Amino acid sequence: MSGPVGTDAAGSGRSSGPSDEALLERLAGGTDEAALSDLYDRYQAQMYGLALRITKDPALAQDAVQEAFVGVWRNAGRYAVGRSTVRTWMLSIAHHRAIDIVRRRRPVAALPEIETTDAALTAPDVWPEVARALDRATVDAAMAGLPDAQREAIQLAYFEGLTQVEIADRTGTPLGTVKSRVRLGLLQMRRALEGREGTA
Amino acid sequence: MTQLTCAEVTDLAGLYALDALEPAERQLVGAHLATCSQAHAEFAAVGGVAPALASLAEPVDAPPSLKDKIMADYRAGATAGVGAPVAAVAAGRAPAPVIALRPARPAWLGWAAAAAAVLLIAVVAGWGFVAQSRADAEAQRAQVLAQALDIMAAPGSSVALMHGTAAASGAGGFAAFDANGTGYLVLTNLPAAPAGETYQAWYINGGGPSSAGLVSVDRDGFAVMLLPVQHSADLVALTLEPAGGSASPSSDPIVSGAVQSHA
Repeated sequence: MSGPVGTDAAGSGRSSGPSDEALLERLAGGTDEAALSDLYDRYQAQMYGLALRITKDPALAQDAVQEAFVGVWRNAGRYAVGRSTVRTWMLSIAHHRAIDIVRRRRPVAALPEIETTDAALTAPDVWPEVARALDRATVDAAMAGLPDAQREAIQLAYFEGLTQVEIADRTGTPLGTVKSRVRLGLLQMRRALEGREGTA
Repeated sequence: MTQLTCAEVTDLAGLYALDALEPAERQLVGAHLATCSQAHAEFAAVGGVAPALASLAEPVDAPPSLKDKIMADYRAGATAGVGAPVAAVAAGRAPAPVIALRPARPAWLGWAAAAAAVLLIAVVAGWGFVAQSRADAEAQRAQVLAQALDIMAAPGSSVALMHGTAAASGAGGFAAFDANGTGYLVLTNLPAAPAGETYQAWYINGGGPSSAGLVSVDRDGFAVMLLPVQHSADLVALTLEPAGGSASPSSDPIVSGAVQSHA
């Protein structure tokens, strides 16, 4: 496994050194502060930026990243090579923790425990290769191509941490419509992102 | 607890991928995916897109002090001797969820109750080693476990006390079925499945084995899941199967237990 050396257009901020996978493997293999330190340096800005966007509060965003790293080292041995990039995996954990923190501050139930090895969401296919080449502008364009209602529903879920019931309330939309907007929107984004592979 | 149809589960794929389901519904979807014979490929399709949304957030450097905290967490966990370091434990802020055993149990439980109590002590002790951030999730799992215990204690229920062998010799737990055949599986100390393999549960009787679904083991070695309805299993067993599961067991059971019925 060579890792996504130099091809992670979304910006790992890294041009040399051990691959992400190698660092994660070292973490899984035992105490390795240097490996954790390197992973932190590579992804802290993206994780913190994501957490900040979700929580809109620097202290909460720091809590989210701190909790996310506990998740990273605890689950390092469960990262499934080939099912997602390390970057995607770490950002997913950061997202989960940030959403959880936001929800804990609202009168709704918190998220269940991280399911970082959720096989249903990470069936092996060509997607990790596609995802590896995605950058912000590409994802932004795919998002912009969605019908307004689909884009809004996805943003409310992903960046605001709203549940389907809350999205329905916020947008005055039936639950069934929220379900289909999110599902169809994500599927359309996938088609758009795959279509851009090689042209970006 | 109601079960979802494949169509209903498919409808929820997007919300599931974005973590936007209410916990109870998320659990139902997870239970369906764990036991359904259909591939539900749509989950993989949308599941890949959700993390890409993270790219839309502008990277922002965290304050330098954050790295110090995280590295200190890591060191504290490592010196605590926990394979997976948990800062909150070291900091003494990780209360274990309290699970009250039912004070009065039907007489039939007997040895089963004693064994289950031992199991629960292990479970609760295990739960002491969780970070504060996980408390809510642990509480939710405790709730599922409480449902399983309710079933164990209910009239007309049946129970299989599960014991591990070989690579999973430390594993134990139980499967409990209510009078309608609805069941829960609760296991502890399960080692992580080897890469490329998964645990699969089976119902076994004179007619042979039938799949009871794939079993997800969390990072602490716990597995708590709903089981498909059954009325005729003599044995509940777990085998290791290639990822994705098998139509029939391809290896010997490494955790199993005989179903004991009680009128």
